[in-house]
Amino acid sequence: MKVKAKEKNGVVTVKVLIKHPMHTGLQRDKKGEVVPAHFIQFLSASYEGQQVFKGELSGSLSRDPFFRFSFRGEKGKKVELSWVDNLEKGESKAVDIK
Amino acid sequence: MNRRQLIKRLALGAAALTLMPLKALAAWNQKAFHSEFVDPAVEGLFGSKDAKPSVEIELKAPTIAENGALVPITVRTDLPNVTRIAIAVHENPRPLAAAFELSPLSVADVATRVRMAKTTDVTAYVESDGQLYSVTQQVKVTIGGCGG
Repeated sequence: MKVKAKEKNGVVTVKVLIKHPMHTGLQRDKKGEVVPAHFIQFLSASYEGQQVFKGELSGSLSRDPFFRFSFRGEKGKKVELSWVDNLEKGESKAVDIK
Repeated sequence: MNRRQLIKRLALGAAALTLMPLKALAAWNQKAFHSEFVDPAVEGLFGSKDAKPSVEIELKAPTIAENGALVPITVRTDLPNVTRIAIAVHENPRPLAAAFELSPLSVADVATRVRMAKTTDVTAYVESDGQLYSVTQQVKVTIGGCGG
């Protein structure tokens, strides 16, 4: 997961890029076999112990999904992100707000 | 999750909660996300399918998307107290693409990229002060993005 958090005029803008196939479960491969569903279900972000963003997601998002969101916050503090997919795999990461 | 599991998870403490906050606190809304039509999907998510069209929501989407596998969508609004924003692609096999929950600290300006099977309408829903608003725009798709 790549995360960038940048503050400007009291607003922190976070950009997130996650490497993930985001298979809907409806697609078929070249042999005609159904590709099992594998997609991120939740992405959440917290700042100073408070949830500032949560995405409930589906396979209708692009492969290697991208998100941008904003909240009122300060430079130098941290924003923590985590995601989990339908196979209960996931990742967490904290980044400094620049 | 049953009561015993809940207690067990709470007992794991703050450290574990930081790592696995999502699993413990929410169940994915399969009913809404697996709906084959927009109305039941929106109703499954917001509890109502009646959204008032609003010019105060800015939906930024390409007029023509050459590649349906990757269509950038931005939703922004100055409506007050925005609690949720959702994006639906009408003629996708499952229209509801994403639902975002905001907080009192949030600025109502989100962006993501969706898949589009074919040329169809994209609707952005905004829940503001407990009311549901929407705006719709058609996106023409040259090559569909849901194939294997």
